[in-house]
Amino acid sequence: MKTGSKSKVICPFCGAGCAFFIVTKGNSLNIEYISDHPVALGALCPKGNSSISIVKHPDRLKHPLVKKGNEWIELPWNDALNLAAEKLLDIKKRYGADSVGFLASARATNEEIYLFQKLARLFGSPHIDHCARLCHAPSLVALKDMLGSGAMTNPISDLANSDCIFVLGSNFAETHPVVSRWVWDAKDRGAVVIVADPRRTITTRIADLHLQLRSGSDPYLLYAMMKVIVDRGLCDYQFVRERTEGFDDLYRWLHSFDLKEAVEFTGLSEREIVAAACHYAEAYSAALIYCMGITQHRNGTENVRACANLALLCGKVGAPGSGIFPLRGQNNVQGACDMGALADYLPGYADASNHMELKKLSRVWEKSDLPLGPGYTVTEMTNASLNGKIKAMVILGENPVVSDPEASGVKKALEKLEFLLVIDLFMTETARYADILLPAACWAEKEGSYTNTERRVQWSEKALDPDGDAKPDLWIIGELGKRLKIWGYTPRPDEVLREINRVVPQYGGITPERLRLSKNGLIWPCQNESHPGTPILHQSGRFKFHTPQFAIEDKGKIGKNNIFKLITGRLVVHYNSGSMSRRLSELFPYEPIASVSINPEDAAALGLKNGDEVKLIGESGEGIFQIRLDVSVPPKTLFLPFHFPGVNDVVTVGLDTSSRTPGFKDAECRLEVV
Amino acid sequence: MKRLLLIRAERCIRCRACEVACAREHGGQSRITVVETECIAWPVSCRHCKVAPCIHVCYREAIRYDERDMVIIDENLCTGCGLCELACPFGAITMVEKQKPSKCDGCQHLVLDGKTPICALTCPSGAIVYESIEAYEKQTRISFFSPVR
Repeated sequence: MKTGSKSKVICPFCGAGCAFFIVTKGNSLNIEYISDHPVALGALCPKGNSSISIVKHPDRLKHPLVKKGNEWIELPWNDALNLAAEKLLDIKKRYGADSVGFLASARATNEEIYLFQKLARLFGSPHIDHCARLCHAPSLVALKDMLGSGAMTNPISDLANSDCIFVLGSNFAETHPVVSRWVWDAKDRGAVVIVADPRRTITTRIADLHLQLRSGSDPYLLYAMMKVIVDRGLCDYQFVRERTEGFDDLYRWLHSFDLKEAVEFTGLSEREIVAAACHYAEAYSAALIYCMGITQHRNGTENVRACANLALLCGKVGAPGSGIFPLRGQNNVQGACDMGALADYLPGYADASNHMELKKLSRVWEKSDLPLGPGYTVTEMTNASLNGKIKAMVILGENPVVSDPEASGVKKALEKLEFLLVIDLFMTETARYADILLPAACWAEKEGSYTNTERRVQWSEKALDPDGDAKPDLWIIGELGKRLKIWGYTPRPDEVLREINRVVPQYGGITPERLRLSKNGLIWPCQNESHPGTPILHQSGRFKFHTPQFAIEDKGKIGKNNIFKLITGRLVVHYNSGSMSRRLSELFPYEPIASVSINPEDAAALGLKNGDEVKLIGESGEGIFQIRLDVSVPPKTLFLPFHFPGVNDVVTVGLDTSSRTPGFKDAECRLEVV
Repeated sequence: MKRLLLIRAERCIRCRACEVACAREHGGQSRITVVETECIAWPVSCRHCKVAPCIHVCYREAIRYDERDMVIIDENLCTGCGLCELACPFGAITMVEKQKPSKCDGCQHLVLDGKTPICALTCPSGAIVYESIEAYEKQTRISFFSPVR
């Protein structure tokens, strides 16, 4: 690259999709803010601010590595790729193509993810998935069914137009700091902010009304609110009559719903619930923000359906300031879902178990007999490896050893694989189990498009060349596909995006030329080249109510024999599995270790002080952590940040039946003083 | 109208973006610190006082007002005695390596080019703003009446 260049890139961390300029001068990099950017007016959180340190980080992998015994040996690209292809073809020959699992990354570009899932499906394996399974898969299933699209309905900045903002199971001030600007702007206009969270978090400080409900009682809270709304006649009857179906069934169900019992179960007072319900229903425009606290439960899909039911009942969908805001966690997790890197969906959310859809896709890809879905999901893939059904895996920039529940089982599963190919920036906890490890270029070293949580597709420019031998993922996937005899040549990002335009209907008009020229990106659905994009979804159309079927297992164990409810969550200075943020000297000193927060009353009963070490014992694993006395955590509850290895050893949970998402937030553990 | 670095403390979400950005812009040493208690957090940096205690205690007259009325330290005159650090009522001056005081200079290099100081640019929640006192007061008056609907 020439010296002194300035390139617009998309932040590599959360799903907000902030953009900034990387200014290169000789060997030094700096950030220049884009103060008219629509997501957050150019603001960046601490992660975004330190992101350029990843580019020149000394831990970056520079050469392809092959494991021989216990040693890593450097190989040239050609040999490493040939070896990887040879191993994969050998396993395909011996066990069949569906014995290979593919894990895509939610932080690669749309083009890379599209090509990766195409590689998996043309290789003959339906087992392609990515980490959306661990977070917003319930949103996808529930919202797609009820509203027709599983994405956020309005842009983030539209929150400023809301008169009531209801936040459930989200600590956005910590996870998506830029969202708080718009919530504050709404508050300055007079909006009421209601936050339901078992903990007192930095987000609840913004709230006018904090509902400190019992963890996991979200559907009871939501249906109790709906009962109040129906009983008081606060529904938007015109909206319900003209735009929805299935209200009668919900009405009947609500009639038999016991409000007193529900109120008791949530641990709140009836007054609080009535206040929340009235504020939400009576506001001119109201937004509903939810996040992992809703989806990561055994009944995650039911929880999301309850959220959508509430929004539909009050007609708070499809208008400025009114919508459902599921905040997505990675900078391209929305894009990865759109591109079909999912076990149950093809590109553009076509059903992977539908022969007609597969036939349509096979015409574009010019190959018949595509594998019929649904394939294994992220968590099922590791179980399948333990059962011997999956023999090899290709992992593109994911770190399941840290991010998946029952981490000890994941480690065993990866050890049992005959062949593991990992493509990553760093020697992550997962990469240690690889047979071949390929060094990838980071986000600033390649170009491509990213889709943020608001469905805004933005083009990220290449700022500089990669250090060492690292290559962009697109090149690696393309070359691997060539050697697997799937396609003849390695495409460029533009060519892949043009194919996406043809395959994914929502991206029909998002061409590389338009994207490069547009200042603020394009918001899908954008069906053709003259379409301006759709910032607010569901302005027309009909929606379906859902009749609830949920049951919460209350084992009644919490509180006895030192058994605590375990909530895992994020910290503002760290990011997901921490493979990036734990390496940054700017962020790491703020939170260097995983310390478990405990209520001072519980600590006093156990005779514990700040900084003491305790052992947490889950069903399948245990770990030793330092404690931190914290009044923000309710009694008999522990909070543990999940960015550190060892945390998910303690977490053993069941799967949500509809979306197969692990119910991280249902975890329990026993605390032992050491 | 003259613009200043002003704080809307209620908005601070103690994310420390300002600290990270300031350190990056000023050679690894942040000149803004986020203070946190159990119920509120706010960023602390030099207030550029009209009657500045640090200027009064500096016997070498190394601290002075620049043309924008910002309090700045002339490192060539400074002897590193540390009196300014003790005198600052906000704790906004810290001694760094080689016993030199370090404090906010209002991002002189950016402001002279007509740009905004880095902490105000990066603040995700809008807690640090770079605007005139008049605009800030107007906003305060408006948001005071926001509960009236």
